[in-house]
Amino acid sequence: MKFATGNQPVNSGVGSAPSVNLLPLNKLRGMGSLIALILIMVVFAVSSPAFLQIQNLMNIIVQVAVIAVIAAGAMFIILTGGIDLSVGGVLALAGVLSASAVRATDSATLGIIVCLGTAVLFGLLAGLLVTYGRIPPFVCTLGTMSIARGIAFVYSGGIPISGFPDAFRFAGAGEVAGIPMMVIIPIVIYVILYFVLVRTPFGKIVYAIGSNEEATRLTGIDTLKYKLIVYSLAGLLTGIGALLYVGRINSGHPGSGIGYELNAIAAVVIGGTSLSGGRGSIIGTVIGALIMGVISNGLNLMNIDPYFQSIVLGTVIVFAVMIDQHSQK
Amino acid sequence: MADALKMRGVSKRFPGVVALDNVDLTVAEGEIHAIVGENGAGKSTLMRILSGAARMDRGEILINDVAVEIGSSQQAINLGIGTVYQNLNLITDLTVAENIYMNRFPGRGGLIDRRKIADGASQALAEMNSDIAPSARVGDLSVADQQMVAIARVLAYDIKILILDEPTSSLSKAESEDLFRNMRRLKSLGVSIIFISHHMDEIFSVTDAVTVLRDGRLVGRWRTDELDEHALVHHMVGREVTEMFPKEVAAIGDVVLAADHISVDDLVHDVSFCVRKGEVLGIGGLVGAGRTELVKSVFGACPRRSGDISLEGQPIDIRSPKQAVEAGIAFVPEDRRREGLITEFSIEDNISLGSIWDLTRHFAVDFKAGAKLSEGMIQAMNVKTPSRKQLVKNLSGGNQQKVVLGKWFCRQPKVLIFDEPTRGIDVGAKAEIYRKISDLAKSGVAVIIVSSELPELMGISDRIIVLNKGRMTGEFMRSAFSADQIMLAATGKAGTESPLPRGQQQ
Ligand SMILES: Nc1ncnc2c1ncn2[C@@H]1O[C@H](COP(=O)(O)OP(=O)(O)OP(=O)(O)O)[C@@H](O)[C@H]1O
Ligand SMILES: [Mg+2]
Repeated sequence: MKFATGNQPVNSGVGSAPSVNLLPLNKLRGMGSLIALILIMVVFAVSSPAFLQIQNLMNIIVQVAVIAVIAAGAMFIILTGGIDLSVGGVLALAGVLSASAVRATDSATLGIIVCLGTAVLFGLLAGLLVTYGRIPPFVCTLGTMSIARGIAFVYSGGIPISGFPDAFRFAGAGEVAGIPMMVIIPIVIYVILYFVLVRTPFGKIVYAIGSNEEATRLTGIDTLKYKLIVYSLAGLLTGIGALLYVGRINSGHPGSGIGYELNAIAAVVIGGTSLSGGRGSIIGTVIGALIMGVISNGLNLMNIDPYFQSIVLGTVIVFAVMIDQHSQK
Repeated sequence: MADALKMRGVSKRFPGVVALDNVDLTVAEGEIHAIVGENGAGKSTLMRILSGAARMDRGEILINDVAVEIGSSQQAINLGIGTVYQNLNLITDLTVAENIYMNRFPGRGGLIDRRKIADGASQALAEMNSDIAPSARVGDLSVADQQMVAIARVLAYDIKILILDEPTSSLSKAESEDLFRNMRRLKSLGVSIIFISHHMDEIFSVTDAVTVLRDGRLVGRWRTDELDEHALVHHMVGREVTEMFPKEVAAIGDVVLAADHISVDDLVHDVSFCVRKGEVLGIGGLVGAGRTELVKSVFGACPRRSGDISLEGQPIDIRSPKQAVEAGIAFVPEDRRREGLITEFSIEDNISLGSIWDLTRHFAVDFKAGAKLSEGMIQAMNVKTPSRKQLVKNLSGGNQQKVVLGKWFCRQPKVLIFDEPTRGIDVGAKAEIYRKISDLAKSGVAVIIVSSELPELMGISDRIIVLNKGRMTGEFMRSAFSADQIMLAATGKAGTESPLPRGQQQ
């Protein structure tokens, strides 16, 4: 079927469309943050010779691994137009419960199941409350954060549970061919999530929901179901974060993960993801997490007071987002 | 008469698009001036430049023969230029009164004087012959009422030049008449009005002069009484539009969709209808008669209080759009920006989203297939765009509408429901869309069309049912179409319940 009339050769230019680019540069927002990351690294490389050594670069990844994994989940939720404040509390609870399970049974498998299961259940719960319960995500996850942390303290009596078999600590403290699992796991996760977000229908739908939920629903897509999946996925990623954390410090502590929700959100936002949903890239989030890690690592190498570090970090957040906003226009 | 406004040699490019190329516009004081042209001709862009929402690359603007610089909407307003945009730009979570007084809340000691804005708003609305409550939330209003609010908001300033970009596209006939009365009243006060519309009858009934644009260039400027409709359309599209309603009567088969005793909240009461294979069923009535709610409830997009639906003779309990789409029912909503499109997505992504599962191979979206599908749609619907990667928000209003239609045209559902399909579409493209709808029916699709435009409804339907205040007040076969009878039924004044026995069901 073709229109016989109404060809508009002047401005239409149909057919001159650019071919599909494999690396969707237009989706690679957060260029501002990439520039910021490079600048910061140059400054540190100049001022501290230890900075660029492989060992130190690997350290940086290990230091940001937990936040990076959690931030990936936070990013999915933010893309749908939501927010998740519960990750810190859920991380603590998953850590405490799995630590206790491992201590009681000596089974690493059970520990891993409890750790991931707890976090997924909390994600699912938040998802149900947000979708079918129609509670705004901010309020809902503020509640689940408090509930999770409360249970962690009640259950453990406020006392850390420590000392695990190596198998349980493998994710956090193990190495393969000299490369720490704390480096391998985040990289694998990000590669998978990049594929999910850029190539799968699920990824497209996540962006669509964040941009215009009603139009997406009227297209025949069960938007509530997908939001539920997104919150559960974020829960799973928090669970993996908890596994790394507990393995690394060899202890499940009810007070752990305080402030992680804000760090995760900061990484996402520095990476150029819009807090109102529908826009952002997974690469941006990686860069966001790295910026946070690089800053604290570099300032440590320069022996700078941690309180001062927090001032620097805050300033970087504001500037990265500002550069990004302006480069967009 | 002095010239209130002169725009000279205005040019504007966007990446890949020359939106305006050396365009002139002259509007006299107290004149109602039409700007007409096909979708994407540059009408809205010219108005956005005048209202400070976009910068021109070249050209000059003179107000009362004095050159002016318009760099922001605030500057435009200070110069006495008020604009009602194609997409209204209201804040849906605020009340009518708050929207009208946005930016200039009268107050005492930093607090908003609620009484004053409520009084001011109701006075402004009363002058426009409208009975909208100032305390209503704008998001709860019909599109027509929102339009009135947007106009009232602009009029609250001291305006010399009023820009109305397709104000009537979502208004009923009666509401349009109210608007025209208001336009003439303002004109008598010396206000110049620039009026954009794709309805030729409106151009001839309300405007004094016409400027025609085509592909971003000026075709000419005429006094309206120098032209007739035929000549104007010719200037617009540069060719003859022969047949407006290329209706081909298709072989009508078995009932595809039957809806029985549908009720929705307080809006639809016990309405039953059916549509057959190859048939185009029109649903007429005034704005607010419950037509949208009726079709939305059949599509599962708004909850039914009661009623049964069957598809091809099988009862089916549709509770969500997903179920409806899976069953083979598609729905083109009336509000393209809110319900029909993801404006931040490209054309390609919008089209792909509509067929996302068909385009998926081994968990991944097949981009090549998506590209092919959208290129095909762009060609078939004649969407004016530099590329399929163009974000939908950068398309002209009519071209956005073509994308919404195209999203479903390429899917060949069993039942296709259109709610006001040609809103914002230019004259030439309308005829093509009617042809497509007709072809669709011929290929065996059951088509349902909700429309407030009687000529359109009568031109393309095989059968029309009419609603009034949520109840069915008439049913007409094509052989018995009569504008008078349909209008009577729409206003609820028809004597008989139903002039013809209802189409047999099942
Ligand atoms: N922000 C933008 N970015 C890119 N292209 C744009 C932008 N705004 C408008 N255009 C293009 O400029 C051209 C003119 O658009 P404009 O909106 O002025 O058309 P119009 O005459 O108002 O059409 P319609 O009758 O469909 O409303 C179109 O090809 C459109 O795609
Ligand atoms: Mg326009």
